[in-house]
Amino acid sequence: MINESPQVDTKDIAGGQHIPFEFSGKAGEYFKIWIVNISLTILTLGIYSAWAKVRRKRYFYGNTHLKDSTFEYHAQPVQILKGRLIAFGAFIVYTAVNAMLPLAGVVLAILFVFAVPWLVIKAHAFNSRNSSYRNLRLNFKGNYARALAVYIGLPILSVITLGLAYPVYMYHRAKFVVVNSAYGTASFSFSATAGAFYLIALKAVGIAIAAAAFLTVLVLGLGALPTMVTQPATPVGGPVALLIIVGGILAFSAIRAYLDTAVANLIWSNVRASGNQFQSTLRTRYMLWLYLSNAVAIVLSLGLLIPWVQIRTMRYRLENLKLLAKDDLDGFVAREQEKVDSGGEEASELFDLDIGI
Amino acid sequence: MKVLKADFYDGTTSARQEVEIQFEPPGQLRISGLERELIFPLSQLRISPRIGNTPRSIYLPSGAKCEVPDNDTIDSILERYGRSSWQSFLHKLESKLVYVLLALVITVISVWGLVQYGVPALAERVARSLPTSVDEALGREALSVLDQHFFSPFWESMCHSFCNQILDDLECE
Repeated sequence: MINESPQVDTKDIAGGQHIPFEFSGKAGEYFKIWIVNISLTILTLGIYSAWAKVRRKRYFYGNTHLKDSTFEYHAQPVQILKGRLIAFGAFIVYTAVNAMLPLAGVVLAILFVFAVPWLVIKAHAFNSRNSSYRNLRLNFKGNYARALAVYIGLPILSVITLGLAYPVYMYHRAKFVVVNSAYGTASFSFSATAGAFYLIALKAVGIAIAAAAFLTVLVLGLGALPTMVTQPATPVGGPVALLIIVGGILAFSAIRAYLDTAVANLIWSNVRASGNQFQSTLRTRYMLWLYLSNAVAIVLSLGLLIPWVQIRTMRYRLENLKLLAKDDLDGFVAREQEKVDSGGEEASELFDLDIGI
Repeated sequence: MKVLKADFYDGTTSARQEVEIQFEPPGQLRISGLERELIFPLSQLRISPRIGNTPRSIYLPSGAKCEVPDNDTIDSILERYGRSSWQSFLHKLESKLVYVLLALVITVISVWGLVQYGVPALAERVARSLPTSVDEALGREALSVLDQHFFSPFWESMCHSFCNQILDDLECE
């Protein structure tokens, strides 16, 4: 198990120990919390959702173990409700303004683009400062100009370069999150390179091309192309269409699984704090199996297996994460607490930007 | 009273100390195993609500905390001294089969009702409230707006990368 991931350099952590993360959440237990969360949210017309969120996160944090200690989520539901109402209000105002004065709507939309980096910083700060391990909080401090360059500038650059700059964007985004995070007074460092992200992107493109070629050959082999060429208006026959759809879904899932796995392994295995290094050893094949079986389970159960899916996915991720620690993790020191209001986080949540563990 | 095993974290460092805690009359907590014994009245403590079987946090006035795995004992003590929070009611909902089934029924009926009646009713109301000319114009307008804004490659890739970035943040936080 040790040193499965090639990116990790464990030399300077010699004499230390490998501490695995463990996850003790149970699908049956979580199902009850989940279904009560949903029903109470319905009965209270959404107000309970703030409590639901806190209970869900407390459940996942409290079941995450690292060296005999668990994580804890501290956000207050009322704080979240307040932020959520502000976000909702802003959304209503935007919709109304946009309906009455389209030009003002455009101005608001542009302003929103400039608010995104601020929202991202706020969301990370809120989440970090409300997360603790061994009674020490995490922290996050980001610079607005830097966030603007990373979260707005680089995506635009990616578009202009037809995607060529996208790995640079992935790299800087990961770096921004990691290096601005801290545990107590210990800040995190990030040692991955943009080149490593390019390598992953290249492999993903390779898989895509291989899959497309394979499907094409398969379809050609079935003799579908001649009919398509001679009678372009005729829809492709049933079995062939099915083959293309199923093959496409499989190929897409495989690429997604590869990207998620490789990027998560690359990022985590390059995060350090005070001489302690993380290591992530997820495997693409198992991730693909997880994705496909999760999708089937959710569809066949009409959504009732969502808690089971969340628990097993989290378990797999955490069981493949370990900390190469130089000591007993006793040496971290607290910093002075700063209060963060939840406006940023919840405003970002309205636009589907939740941030998990 | 029962002696419980707990982990003590002082809040200034990440060091873990194993301690034993004991609740005793007339409603105080005794922590032993540290350099000196600590005693606090329950009224000075903040105890986290129960969620599943995750460890409970007992926060001391100094900012230190005790992490206690034994949920049932903590619950019975809070009840005995009348210090249960209203959130203990939520745990009751989340642990009794009857309430869980009730929650399931409420959810299934609500979702079914929404799909069965809510969506068609809303659609019909919107459709009825619009004159035919508006309806047609709206259709054309909406399509061209969608074409311009959402189906343009720029927005598509912007939205795409934006969504991806959020999804990824989820995973590396």
